[in-house]
Parts: sequence; structure tokens; C-alpha cells
Amino acid sequence: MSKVISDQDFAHIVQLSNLEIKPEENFIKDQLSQTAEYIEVLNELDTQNVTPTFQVNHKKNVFRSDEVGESLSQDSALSQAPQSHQGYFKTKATIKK
Amino acid sequence: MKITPIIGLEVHVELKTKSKMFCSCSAHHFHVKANTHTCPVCLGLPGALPVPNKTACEWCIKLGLALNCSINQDSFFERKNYFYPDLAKGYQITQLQKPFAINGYLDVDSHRIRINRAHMEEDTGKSIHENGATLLDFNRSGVPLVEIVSEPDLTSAEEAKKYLTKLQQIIRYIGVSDADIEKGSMRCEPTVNVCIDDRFYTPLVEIKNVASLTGVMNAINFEIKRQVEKFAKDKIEKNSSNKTTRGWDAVKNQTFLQRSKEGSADYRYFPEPDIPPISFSAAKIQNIKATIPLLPDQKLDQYQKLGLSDADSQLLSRNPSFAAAFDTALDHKTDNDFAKFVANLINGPIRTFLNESKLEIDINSIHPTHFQDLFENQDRLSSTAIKELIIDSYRDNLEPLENAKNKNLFQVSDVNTLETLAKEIIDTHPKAVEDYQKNPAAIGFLVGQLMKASQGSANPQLAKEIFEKLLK
Repeated sequence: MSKVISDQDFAHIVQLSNLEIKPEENFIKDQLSQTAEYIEVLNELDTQNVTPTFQVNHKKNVFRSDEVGESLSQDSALSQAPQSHQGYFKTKATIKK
Repeated sequence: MKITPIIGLEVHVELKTKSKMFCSCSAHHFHVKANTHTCPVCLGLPGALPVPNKTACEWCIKLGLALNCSINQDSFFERKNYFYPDLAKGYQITQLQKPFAINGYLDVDSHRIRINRAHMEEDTGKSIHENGATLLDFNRSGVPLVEIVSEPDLTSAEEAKKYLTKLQQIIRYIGVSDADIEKGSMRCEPTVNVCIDDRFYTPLVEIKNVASLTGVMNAINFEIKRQVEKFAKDKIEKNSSNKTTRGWDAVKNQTFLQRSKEGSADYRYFPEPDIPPISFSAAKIQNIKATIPLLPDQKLDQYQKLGLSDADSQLLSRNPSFAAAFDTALDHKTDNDFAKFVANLINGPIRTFLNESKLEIDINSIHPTHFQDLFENQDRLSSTAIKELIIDSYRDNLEPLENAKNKNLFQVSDVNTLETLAKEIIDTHPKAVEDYQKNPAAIGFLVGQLMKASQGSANPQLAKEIFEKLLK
């Protein structure tokens, strides 16, 4: 089995992704390793004369002017929230008080 | 033991654009009903497409220029990834590799504080912690934010305060934000550590939740003391992984540990694929630069050159509205006496009137011709009368000379009239004349009688001279 992703890397990725992985789900690590290894193929490409980019449509300076448009109503804004309270989205406490 | 504090400041400034950074929701969020200024973009709903606010980008560049920064002509946005409930998308759109503005500075009492960058980003939602839950309002989510990062060049809490005050003045001068610390439109996060005996560096601490200038100073001073005491005990020095974040408790007046800092790499920054890169031509940047007015330091210099005292120059230059009022009243004149006269009126009676009535200065209530008329008639009006007349002019737009006539405030400076009156007083007050001849200080009584006889309209200095002459 491939070892592109170490146990340590995996733990780190899990933490950054805010996921809970149960011990019986640890096979995901190997699947992720396989995926990463597959992507490694890209490194075989000679990119020496290619300018790095993160854009494919060659657009530049797409702006909007500073004008106020319509917003959602409070009800529709909250309509998909698992929990809400008096017009607010409600989540588990982030700070102990 | 030699202790050298090392302080850097991260300052976030909310721009006062009408709409948000990447969507057209209103950017107004202070005391607004929760979650009424949101849309799929600022709620981070799938498939929403952010489009940058042009004015916000230009204002960020304007602010950068005012802070002596170089502008990156080619720039782009990036995603900073982290999980927190006030950040619905799971990432903040910000700038890392190519901020709009870099390498600036601000001089604080001739100590140059280097500015690493001023970059464009978006604000997060607002959290309220209540009854074991966190409530979220996304009206603030996506409001344009400029982050100004200083190098750790500040060496005391006092200097940090001066830097912030100056930064605040500049931001207000160029009009891109209210920069109100109490209202949260300017937020400061000091990073503090201490160098001990020029050898040992204590671990870095970033301080959050400071909501006032005094708070910034207290937090820095507390942290300096805490770190020195801690180092004396554990001798732990700064390394690349022991930076921590501490919150400021303004009630207990102390900092408390919030979390160990995630390394920068953990944010997994990458270029924002939804927003094409941005490029400003040198000409465009020049145009933005041309919109920057004279800044506080330049104003101060200008006022001192007009012959104003340091105190007057400072009072006027540190507040853009007062500076504008003074400039309006001065009306491009360069006469030093007139400038001093105007400064005295604005910093004196008008400022007092505004303080007492809790009003902000309104430039439309400043009438240059009124100042000029009063200046030209100074010798006919007492200083008390001038104060009264300029307030009437400011408050009710009353023409001072006409008003003075109606209120009978002109002083009689006609020597013949006053002499006639003085002679009558001398004849009718032999006792007072006798007193004066024994003690010249007793002339006050005679002058007082003359003021009374002229119904307050006599020029007191002139009256005194007349008595002195007549009783020689």
C-alpha cells in the first residue's frame, strides 16, 4: 500500500477538515494516499516553460460598482438554518462564558 | 535587567462603502435588525459568485498611498481557509502574496514605524454568546475591510497609542472609514513580546478583543509585565511554534489565554479562482493619489507656517472637520494676524459652543465674510462682543456688523464724546479723583463709571488713557 500520506499528515488533514474519523474508517487514509499518488502523475509533465496560473478564462478587473441591491429577507436567510433564535443563526457555543 | 518591548499592530478598518465587498448587500450593519442584509454570496451559499466592489479596492489603494506604501499594480485575491461559525464559507477572501499596498511607513514623533502591508479583505459575521449558545448575525459578513500590518517597530504602549491615533486621523482625513474603535469600525490587535538584556526574546503573544485606545495601552502594559515575570520563572524563549493568542478582559484588566496559534501554513491560502486578477495602471494609481487631501502632518506644517501657535495648529489639524472649517473661514488668505484671529475664534468660542451643545462642527455654518468683518472691526468691539457675534454668526447666520449695531456692541472710540463724559464724571466724583491721585490703581472705578455712562460702549483702554490725561 502506498505511503504518500503519513499517519501524521492524515491526522492533520482530518483536523483541518473539521472531520471526525472513526478507527474503522481509517481506510480513508489509504484511499487518500492512492488519490494523491495518482495526482503525482502530473509531476511528470514538463512545465518549465509554462507560466503558473489560477485563471483559465483570461479575464481581468471584473468589478461591480458600489451600489446597494436587494438582500434576502430575514426569514429566507434563516430558512435553511438547522437552528435559529430571534432572527439569529444559532450554533453550539464557541466561547465558554 | 534591561527590558525592551517589541510591539507590532494589526489594524482592521471597515470601509464605509455603501455596499459590501463582494455582493450588493448594504454594508451598513451597526444597530441593524439581524440577518436582514444578507444574500447567497455573504451567507456563503453554494454556487454564489463574489464580484469585488471597485470603490473598496480604490479606497484600499488610497489608504495605502496615504501610508506611504508602494502599490502592487498586479494583484489578486486569495482564500484563507479555517472553520469558525462567523465565517460561513469556510474561508475568508483576502490577499496574501500580492496585497494592494506594501512597504509603507508612519512617522510617530520622528520615529519611523514601518508598515508591512495594507490589504483588502472581507469582514466576518458577528457572534453573540448567550446561554451556552452562539448566535450569529451575518449583516457584517462581507463588509470591506482593510488590514494594516505594522512591523514590530513600536517600543511602548504610549507609542502604540500615538501610532493608532495618527492612523485614525489619516483614515478620517481621506474619508474612507469612520475608524471608530468603540463602534468596531477600527479594530486593533497588538502582537507583543519582550527582549530581555538584549539577548532573550519572550514568546510572541497576539492580543484580541481590545475595544478602546486605553484598552490597547492597558493590554500592552499588562502583557509586557506578565511576560517579564513569566520569563523570570520559566526562561522560555520565543520559537517558531510557541506563539499564542490571548484575549483582553477589560473588566479584570488582564489578558487570558485563548488558543495556541495555528501556523500560517494551516490556512492553506490559495488564489481565489472565482475572482479574476486585478491590475491598476500607473495612471490610475496616480489618479487615486491625486484625490488624497493634505494629511494631518502636512496640515500641521501649513498652520505653523501661517504663524499659528503649536497648540492651535494641533487642535485644528488633528480633526479634519475643524481643519476644513478653519480653511473655509481663512478663505485662502495668508495674513498671519487674520489666521491667528480665525484660529482663536474656532478653537475658542465656536469649539466651546459645540462642546456645550454636543454638536459636530458644520462647515456650512462657517461664513468667511463674517470672520473678515469682525477682524476689520476688532478695535471697535470688545473681545467678549466678538465671541458673542461669531457664535450668532455660526448658529443663526447673523451678519456680525449689523448684529453688533442692533445689540449696541460697538465701542465708542470717539475721543471727544468720551472726554465730555469723563469730565462730567471727574466733576461729580471728587472722592474718586482724590483716591486716584493717592493710588493710580483706583482708576478702575472712574473707567467703570465711564463705561456705565456710555452704556458699555466705551473702549475701556481709551477711557483709561483719557482719565490719565485729564488728571495729570
